[in-house]
Amino acid sequence: MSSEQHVLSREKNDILHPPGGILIWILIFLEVITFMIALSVFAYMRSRNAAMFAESQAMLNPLLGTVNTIVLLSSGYFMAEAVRKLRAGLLKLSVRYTLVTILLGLVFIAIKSFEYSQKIEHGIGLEYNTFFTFYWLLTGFHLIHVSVGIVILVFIYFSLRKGRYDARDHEDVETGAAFWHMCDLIWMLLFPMLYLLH
Amino acid sequence: MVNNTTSWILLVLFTLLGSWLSGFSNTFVAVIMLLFALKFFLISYQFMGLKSAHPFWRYTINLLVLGFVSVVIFSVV
Repeated sequence: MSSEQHVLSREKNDILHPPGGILIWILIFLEVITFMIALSVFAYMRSRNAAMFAESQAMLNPLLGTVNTIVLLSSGYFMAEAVRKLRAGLLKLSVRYTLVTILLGLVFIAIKSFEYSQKIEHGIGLEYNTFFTFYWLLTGFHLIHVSVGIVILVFIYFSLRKGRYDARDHEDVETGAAFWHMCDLIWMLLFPMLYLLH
Repeated sequence: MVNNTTSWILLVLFTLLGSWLSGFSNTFVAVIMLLFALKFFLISYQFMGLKSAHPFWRYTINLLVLGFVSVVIFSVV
């Protein structure tokens, strides 16, 4: 049995060792539940004032939302590949994929900032109406998570370049990757609720 | 067997399909939420390696997603 298969087999049988470690998974569950509760309240508020929510939603740009979703999903793909390459002992490829992940994360922030600037130009702030209070708070908190994720990935990138991690010792990389994927998961919650569902 | 690349292609396709369906008023709420659930599972099971985790973590994620999708569908319909 290879070391990778051994680790996967241990994770499958051990509740205390999910991929990336138990602490990051407790954090992921808390974050996902928090956003789910907030979005359930959002759905309830929308059911009580459907016209205002529909009118406000029409002021969002679904194309920018879709592009940003694909950018974030692509960054998640490259991070998953970075971990896989590292497990296989392909350090140089892992370093490159981590860098691509960081760059795509920065593209996400740039597009989101452009979207925010458009809203601010039109005087649509936090107190514009209930829909935009949810929009600013939810996407704002998500953007903070993405920014923190990029800082973590930059740290991982330089650590990988220094050869601090390898095929046997890479739990920190898996933990950082799990945090980055959590940003994906939260955006998967936000995108249909804010941009798609009428 | 689904690998990372297949998952990424599916994720992009589901995103484009969901965006397209959202143009038809609220006719496809259930389909859009189903696509959301599939994307959530692809990321957590494939990218995050949940498929190799203890069943506790998998069942908990499944229950959370099922609960959330139910709440949203019942609030819209």
